[in-house]
Amino acid sequence: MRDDDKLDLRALDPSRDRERWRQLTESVVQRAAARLRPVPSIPSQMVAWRMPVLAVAAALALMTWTAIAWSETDAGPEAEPMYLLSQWAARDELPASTPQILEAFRGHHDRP
Amino acid sequence: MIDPEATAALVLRARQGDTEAFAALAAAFLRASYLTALAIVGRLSDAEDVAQDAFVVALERIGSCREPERFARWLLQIVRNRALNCLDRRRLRDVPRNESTVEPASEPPPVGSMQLRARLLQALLHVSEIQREVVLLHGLEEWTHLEIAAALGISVGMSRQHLFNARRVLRGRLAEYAESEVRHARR
Repeated sequence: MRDDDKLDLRALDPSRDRERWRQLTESVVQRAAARLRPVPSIPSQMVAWRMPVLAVAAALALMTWTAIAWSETDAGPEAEPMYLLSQWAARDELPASTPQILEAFRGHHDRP
Repeated sequence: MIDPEATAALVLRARQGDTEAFAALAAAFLRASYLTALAIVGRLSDAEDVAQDAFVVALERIGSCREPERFARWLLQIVRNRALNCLDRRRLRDVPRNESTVEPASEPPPVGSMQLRARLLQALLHVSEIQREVVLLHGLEEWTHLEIAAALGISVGMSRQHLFNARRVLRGRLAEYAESEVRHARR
């Protein structure tokens, strides 16, 4: 069975318009690639975000430590009863009255 | 067609998300997808849509292609399924015009700028779906009977027979259209 007289089917060839066919092929590849782009797993996302998370944690720790240190030094030694007493003693003074002494020590004893 | 081993290598690369492999597979098989779709849906625009969608789906599901060296057969089955879905949708959407698209018309197709293409499409409606696939893949994709047989799941002898019968019918139809055109021109 031989039938070598080929039919001319070129009119049905979609790639005759080469530019259009090229665009169509590229579009198919891009669509497939977009759909196949892997969604990162939770562990891989954690690995990817570890450095920013560590940086933020370090910054927060630094800020917290600074704030605590600042609050501790905020009151100053002038507020300490022993400092007041030593100042009075150094200046050879006496507290003006008993309430002044009690006031100086009250704050100290109120602390937890 | 590229050989099965090269095809299998591309499929394996595509499974890893290699877009160059996607492009190579598209370059090698997108037109065959289009021609298979055209053999079923019979309309150029529908064939283009079906071929594109089927190819994207195939690349998306390429992990399920169990025999990478038989990628063409696997791909064309996806194309065929989607083309049949397209026909079903068309039947639902387009009932009044359906008859003229799936059944061969008694009148010759109109002459004009798209004359040859319209004639070929009309003539193709006079052969079976499998014959259309064989004649298009052999005539335009230049696949051998061995390649066609492997891709369509038929024997080489059957591929030859389909081509022989399809060509005979198509030649007859195209000759009729040409005669009809001559008669029309004489009027």
